[in-house]
Amino acid sequence: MLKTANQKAWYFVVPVVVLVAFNALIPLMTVVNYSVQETFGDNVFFWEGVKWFEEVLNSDRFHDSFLRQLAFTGMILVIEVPLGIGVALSMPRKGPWVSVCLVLMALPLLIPWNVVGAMWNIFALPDIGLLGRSINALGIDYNFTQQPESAWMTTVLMDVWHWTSLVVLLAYAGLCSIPDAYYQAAKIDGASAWSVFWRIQLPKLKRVLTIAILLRFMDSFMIYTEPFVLTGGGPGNTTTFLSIDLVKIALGQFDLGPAAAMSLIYFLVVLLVCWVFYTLMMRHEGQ
Amino acid sequence: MATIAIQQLRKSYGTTEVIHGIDVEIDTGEFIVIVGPSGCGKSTFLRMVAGLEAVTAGTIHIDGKQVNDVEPKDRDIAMVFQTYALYPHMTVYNNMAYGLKIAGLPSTEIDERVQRAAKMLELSEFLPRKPRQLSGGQRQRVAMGRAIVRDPRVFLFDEPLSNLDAKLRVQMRLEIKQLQRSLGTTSLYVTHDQVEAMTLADRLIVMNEGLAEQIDTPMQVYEHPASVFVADFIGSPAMNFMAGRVTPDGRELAFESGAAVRAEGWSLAPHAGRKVTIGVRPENLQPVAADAADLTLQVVAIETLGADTLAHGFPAGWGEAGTTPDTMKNNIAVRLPGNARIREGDQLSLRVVEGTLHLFDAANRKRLTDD
Repeated sequence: MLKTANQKAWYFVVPVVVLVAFNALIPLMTVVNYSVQETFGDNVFFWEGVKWFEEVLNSDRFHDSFLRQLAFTGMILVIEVPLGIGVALSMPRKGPWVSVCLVLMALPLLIPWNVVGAMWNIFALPDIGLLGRSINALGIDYNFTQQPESAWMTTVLMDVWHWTSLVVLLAYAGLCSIPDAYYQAAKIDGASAWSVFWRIQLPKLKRVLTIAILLRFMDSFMIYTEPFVLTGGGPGNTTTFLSIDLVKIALGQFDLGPAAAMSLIYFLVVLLVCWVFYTLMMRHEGQ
Repeated sequence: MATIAIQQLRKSYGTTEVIHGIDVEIDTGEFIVIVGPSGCGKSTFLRMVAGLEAVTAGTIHIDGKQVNDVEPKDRDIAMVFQTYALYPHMTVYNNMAYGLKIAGLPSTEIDERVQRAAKMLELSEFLPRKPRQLSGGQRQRVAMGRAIVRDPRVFLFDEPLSNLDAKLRVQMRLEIKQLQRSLGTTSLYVTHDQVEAMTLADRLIVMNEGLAEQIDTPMQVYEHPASVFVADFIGSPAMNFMAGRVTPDGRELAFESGAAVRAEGWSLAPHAGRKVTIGVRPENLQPVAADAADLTLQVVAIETLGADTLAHGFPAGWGEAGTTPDTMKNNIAVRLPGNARIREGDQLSLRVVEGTLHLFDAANRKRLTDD
């Protein structure tokens, strides 16, 4: 066995350490710093321990926005994942239409988030927006600036429009990687389209779908720009999701301590959910 | 067990025809290997027999019944794929049983068949496992098992050994052959590997560019190749080809170099003056004394294989490789005994073993006939 006699290898890691420090550790430590202290400006800090954490965890306001956030993320996952798989299944695998479909699918992903919010704001306006006017013309009373149900529907619809494509593209890539032989074997077995989906396509899509669900979970759980532009968190607080609430506390009220504590709780929740989900999904892989 | 009759089978994609009319009659229990380079249409041909590709023209009969428009599941066939195509989240047992379940067999019979096939393939202890927990060779066996339990009239194999390493491939080759012998099921087997083709087949279909160049027993294909393509494709190292011509008096063959040989076994008279491609297998060139030589080889490379030694070179006096017109390969290979003492740069005097020359028309590249 040969062992290196020097420690030079550490130098090669330095760039990464510096990068991670600047873009993750230092900002995070700043937040940690605020979360355990009180400040009245002038860079004067007073130690407060876990007071802000207790305050946040016991506040009804946090509970409400947390539940709202869970409901929103749950809804968009339930819609976007099956819809995305469905669209991917119906897309052509060969021929000239493949690239057309792919470009069409990628389009919503290329639009800046605040533009998406603004587009849907105008689109859904009950008096002049195409969507809002049409719904009202059908005899349904719809006004997303005043009714919580309408606001929720519009926000969810906007997210579905914006992000289903991501699931579609990932699922499509997964489907394309299934060798033809699987379908041929199923055909010789006389398997129905449903069992082909259930026993070949879905198992083969497991990895990409895990990634798709993780991405959509993280993104939607941290959603800010689009609902902020569309509804501003209203009417009332009905579409005030965690990020919007956080910004209100931090920049609206300038309560930096509770805001920092909330950030950390928020961060840990996302991390925990992702870790648990990924571990569960991948526990049988790689044997 | 079944006979298969294929008449004028054609396949087109749009306006491009890829299979140009294949005729073959296959007997009950025969092991037919379809061999050819990639893109020759062999897999398309097999998929048409399976019913996975629509037939453009021609007919396929299994046991006398035309199956052109019969669904794959109703053709009573089983297919083994190169990628095995096992259902990823089913156990080995369920993978083998699945087709039977769909077919609606009673579970006691399914169990009996799966257990029997598993025993035959030494898979019994792996039945509760998932495919990803198996090695490549075991997965290959499961794919075989899935075919066997169906007890089909015809086995179709689409390059089933191509994903295995060389040693395992040789072992599985033997197993497939023994299995087919003991089951006696008519089999069609597609491969690009000519060794696999030679060792497995009762009869070979050598395909090239959508045509069956030759349909015959392996030895017949080896000893009497019907065209330059077949002669070149079957045999390793490949047959040597030299451009030449039948002398005007119709008694001898003249190489481009001017050397002339008599061609025993060929009546050359009808071909007097014709341009030909002369083929000779590497093992049919013998080192002899210089004055008895048909040609002299300038040796440029030696491959020592142990049992054999291969000498590669080009005929002395023909200039550098590639300058002689109308020879597909100037490179001439000679198979010598393993203990042959020879070095690069040597000159080898060679004589063609009597009766082993192959003659092809230089224009249409078909084997010369005696009439």
